[in-house]
Amino acid sequence: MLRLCHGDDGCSVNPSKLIEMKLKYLSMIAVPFFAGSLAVSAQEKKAPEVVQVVYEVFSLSEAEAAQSQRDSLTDREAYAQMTSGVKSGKVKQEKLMALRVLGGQKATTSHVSELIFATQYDPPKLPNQVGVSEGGGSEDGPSLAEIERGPGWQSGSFPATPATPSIFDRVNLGDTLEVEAAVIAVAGKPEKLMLRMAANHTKLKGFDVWGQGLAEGHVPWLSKQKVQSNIQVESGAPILVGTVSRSNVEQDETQVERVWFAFVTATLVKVEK
Amino acid sequence: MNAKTLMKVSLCGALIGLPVGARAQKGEAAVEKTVNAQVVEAPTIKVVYEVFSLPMGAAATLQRAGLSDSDFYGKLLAGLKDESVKQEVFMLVRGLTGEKLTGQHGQERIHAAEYEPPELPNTVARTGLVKGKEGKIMSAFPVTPATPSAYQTRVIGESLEVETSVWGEGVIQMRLAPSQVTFLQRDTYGQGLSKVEMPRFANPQIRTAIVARSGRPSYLGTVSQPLELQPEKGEPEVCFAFVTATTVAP
Repeated sequence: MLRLCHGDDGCSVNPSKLIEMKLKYLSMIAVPFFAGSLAVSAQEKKAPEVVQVVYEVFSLSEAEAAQSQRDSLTDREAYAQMTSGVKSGKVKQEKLMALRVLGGQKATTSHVSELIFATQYDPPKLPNQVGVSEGGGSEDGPSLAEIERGPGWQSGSFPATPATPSIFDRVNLGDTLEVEAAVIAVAGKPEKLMLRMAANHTKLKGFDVWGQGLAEGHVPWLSKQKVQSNIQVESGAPILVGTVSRSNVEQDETQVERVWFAFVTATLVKVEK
Repeated sequence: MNAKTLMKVSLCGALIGLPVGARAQKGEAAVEKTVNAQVVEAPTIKVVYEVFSLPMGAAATLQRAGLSDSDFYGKLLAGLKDESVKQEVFMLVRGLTGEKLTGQHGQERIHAAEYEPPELPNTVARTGLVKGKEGKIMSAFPVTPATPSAYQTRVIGESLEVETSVWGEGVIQMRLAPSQVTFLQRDTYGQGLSKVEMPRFANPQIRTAIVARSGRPSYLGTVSQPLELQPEKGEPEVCFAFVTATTVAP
């Protein structure tokens, strides 16, 4: 910060010298600022690239899946095999997700529901002291009808409260896709796409019960499939990124086990004229 | 200060956006006028967000067809006429570029987020013994059930958040966050007096940024509903989201 000084308070800079200093200081700020705005103006002429990412999952029997990998097909051939298999009914399309994203930025799409579940339970409670119960009938105590009608009374064999859910957490059930794409340009022309992607599939299988009697607690049982990858791709070419099959435990024993293949197709999108 | 020095000061002030030059020439009024002129010049953008649903097979075929966004959109509109496609969402917001615009078609629902456990007296002097319906002797005692102690508000319905900027020659950049929240059910945890309930919401959403030509529909991606809202029989439904941003003449 610049301060205007006077000679009598110990500052010996004269006003004309001070103006020169101000100019030097201001030009130090102004020149880079002005240069920065020129750079921004130059960037404004060319809008950033948009990349479309399509994520698809196909399932087929384990034997056919293994055979398709042993055939050493290219990704494009494997993808064509999947799409033709969908038509013939051998292959099932399990998932279709798509997302447009600006080059260099992160984007997400979620096809989900939010489950709030208990992660901690307070233990059952008993009174510190319990007196001796009286009588064998309803002479002294309230009648059952009165108990059912009245507030604050509970009938049971002993005064106690069950375990109470005390802390909750959230989990997304369904499918999420997160992508970050960058365009690799050679001599100013976009050549390839760099893709960082993560796909998640979460399903609620049920609830597990732990503890017994009044101390029982319920926690969710989730099935999760996930693929996370960094890949370099040609625009418009489908790529096999991995398998997202359901675990053996989950698969129905009476049916043939199926393998889920996950494909990603990233395409550079031109803004329509 | 000589004339040359004054000119230098004014030039530097103008470069860094300080009102030095303006104030030296015409005073504070000149600065206000400049600001007002900038506000008037900011273009207005109209943003229309639409979601269409169709069965997985037809959706995958359409996606693989490699159509331009206008043709893709046209196919969906044709599908609306023959009822093979259903329009799920239509939202519109309009405002100045550079500002955050939001639209909401919803209702606020307040739900319990925390519960206090049931309470018993520290000392129970005696419990009343009563005969149950089956002739069993039961004890009755004072107790309070689990009590909701904290609440949260959730907007159920569709919401759209957009921020736009213009690149020139009718190209608009948008940062978008559409979502569609549906109340699904109450999930129950605990038992007896400790039973508590928590809501479950479906929340398909997109968070992204794109550039698009003014007045042309642009494909955003998929925002399909989760398993709970998918048809029990037949193919699952895929939802395609489109946005059309248009520069509006003042």
